[in-house]
Amino acid sequence: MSQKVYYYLDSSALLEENFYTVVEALLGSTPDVCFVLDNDLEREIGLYRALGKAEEALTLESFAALLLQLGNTVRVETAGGFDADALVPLAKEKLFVVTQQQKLVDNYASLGDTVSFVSFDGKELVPFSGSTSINGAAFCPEKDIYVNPFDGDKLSYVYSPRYGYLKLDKSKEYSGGEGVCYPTYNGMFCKLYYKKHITYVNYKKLQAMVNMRCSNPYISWPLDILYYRNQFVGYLMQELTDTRSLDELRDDNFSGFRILDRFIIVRNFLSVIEYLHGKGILVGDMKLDNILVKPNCDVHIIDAGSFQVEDYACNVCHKEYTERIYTGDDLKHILRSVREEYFPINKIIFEILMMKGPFYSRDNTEIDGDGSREFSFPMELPTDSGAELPYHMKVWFALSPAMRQYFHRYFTEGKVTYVTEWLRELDHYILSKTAPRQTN
Amino acid sequence: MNTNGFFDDLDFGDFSAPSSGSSRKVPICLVLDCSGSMRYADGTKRPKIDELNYNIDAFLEYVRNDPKASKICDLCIITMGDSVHVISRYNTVDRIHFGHFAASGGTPLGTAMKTAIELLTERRQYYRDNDIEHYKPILMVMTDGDPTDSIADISERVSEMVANKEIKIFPVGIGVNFNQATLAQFSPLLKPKLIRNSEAFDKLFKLLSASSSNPNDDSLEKWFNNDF
Repeated sequence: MSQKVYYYLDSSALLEENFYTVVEALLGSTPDVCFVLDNDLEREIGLYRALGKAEEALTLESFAALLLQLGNTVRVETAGGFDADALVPLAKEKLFVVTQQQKLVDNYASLGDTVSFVSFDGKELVPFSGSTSINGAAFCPEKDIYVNPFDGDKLSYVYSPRYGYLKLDKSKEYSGGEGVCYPTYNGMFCKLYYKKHITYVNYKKLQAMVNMRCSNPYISWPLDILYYRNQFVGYLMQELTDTRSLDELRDDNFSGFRILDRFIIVRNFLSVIEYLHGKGILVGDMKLDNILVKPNCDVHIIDAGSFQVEDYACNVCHKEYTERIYTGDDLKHILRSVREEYFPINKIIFEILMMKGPFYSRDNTEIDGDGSREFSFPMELPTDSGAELPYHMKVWFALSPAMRQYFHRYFTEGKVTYVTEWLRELDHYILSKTAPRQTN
Repeated sequence: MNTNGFFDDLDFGDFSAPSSGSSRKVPICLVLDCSGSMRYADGTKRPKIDELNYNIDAFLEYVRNDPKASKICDLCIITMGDSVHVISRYNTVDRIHFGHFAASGGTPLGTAMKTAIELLTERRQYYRDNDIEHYKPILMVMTDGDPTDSIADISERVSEMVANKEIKIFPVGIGVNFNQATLAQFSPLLKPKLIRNSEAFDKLFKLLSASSSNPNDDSLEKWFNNDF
């Protein structure tokens, strides 16, 4: 008996334009081909339909009907791509996982060598090449050329090649981990680095960023490099008005925002992250202070100068919002991975929604107490619910079951739900809460 | 799952968010020596008690005006002199009012520390009961001389709490005559910091201010770790 060859087709692949050509080609060339569909497909079809994306829903539906008609298609239950157990018997023969999603590559990696991950490049199936970089080495020369940098707080004006001489408004200042910001003309902001951050690496990084295009209005991208007496001292960016940081909002219990607004804030935040990750950029120093919210729930990310761009590292971190502890010069030398960034992403969106940290419990009221990162939010409603649930628990149980799963999987097993999937679920959820209610 | 229809009715706005007041706190307790010997200058420009009063004022002023510290700083002040006096139980700064401290009497350090731990335990229970998250409690104890009561039991208890990472203690010795070994008994991790001039007083309270608005700022700890 000849060996069967299984092709697991996930929705991200099925939705690629002209994907039917792959199915045709496989049917024609491989005699023992078997297709594998995930039971989650129906849920996704439902989500697309609810979001008004009829074309996507129809495409997935037609594929499912077509493949099941062929007779050699099997269904598997993977709990939304998180549980690889059902694929183990298939992997013993030969299994190709056809996907455009990093998540499946991560979660099915445990299946071993007989699994190949492939994606569709528009013409044919090619080996999967994700955007997730493994930790590489950052650009970091041993000796820095700036031997005698200026002190930013002693300057009263700076020079920008694009905007000319800029006077610093010293009556206002905002200090951060790497430097101080002062307002200047025309609604612009000057960030002047502290001496130790005026480095050749930072200069080269800003040069790369200024030359790179960033059309996303929700990111305070560097507009130009700032100089004093021909020496680089910082960068220029757009000033944001009428915003409050997430840190401030958290201490105010998000007063002025409804619960639904908090879901919209999460949505808007994740869509900025999706944009950045899509360009291979990491926020790096992702923390509540660097995320600003407008009254209309628009979310802006500031401090772009510390982003991880190309092979320029992010030199700062916040211990509450990093997965692992960096010591000494680690930060200068290491490039972080997209995966690592999901720690702050999950923690921050959890805090926006529940207004408590994910590791909070009655027995562990201390924030980031040493090593106590234990997630104890229950998946099922407590049965002895005689007493009223505390606020954060009410919100927790008001999330969609899928969202609870996403958090639970991440904080207990480290399994990542990528931003795209989060956004789809959030859109559906927000829509369901804003649509007019049907009354019987 | 039996929800008794609770979540069917759950629409947004049906349950209200916790009312005003931050749900994140940084508990700070100051145990201050106001014994008779504080009346003298000891390396400082002014009498030690004046330095203390001046710096406490500046610290409170900072916390009151800092948008973050004013919300999250949960402050408790205990003085020791003629007796142990709780100036303020844990509270936000806008609710703490008192005049300047006067120096007289001995240094009942043992009793003062016992009071501090009792109040902290009580506060932690309050956090638990009211679903308030908090950063690691900070306990700063400042003294210029030898204790006039027993510290054996309480220093052991405090050391244990520090070792279990339940609290952070910052022991401060004022002037040149204080007994370093005594304070060290409370602090298994950080060596007591000696303060013998006005600048050091300033520095200490500036760093404490930074901790009150940014609990992740570890510059106070770093300063303590510098050469004694």
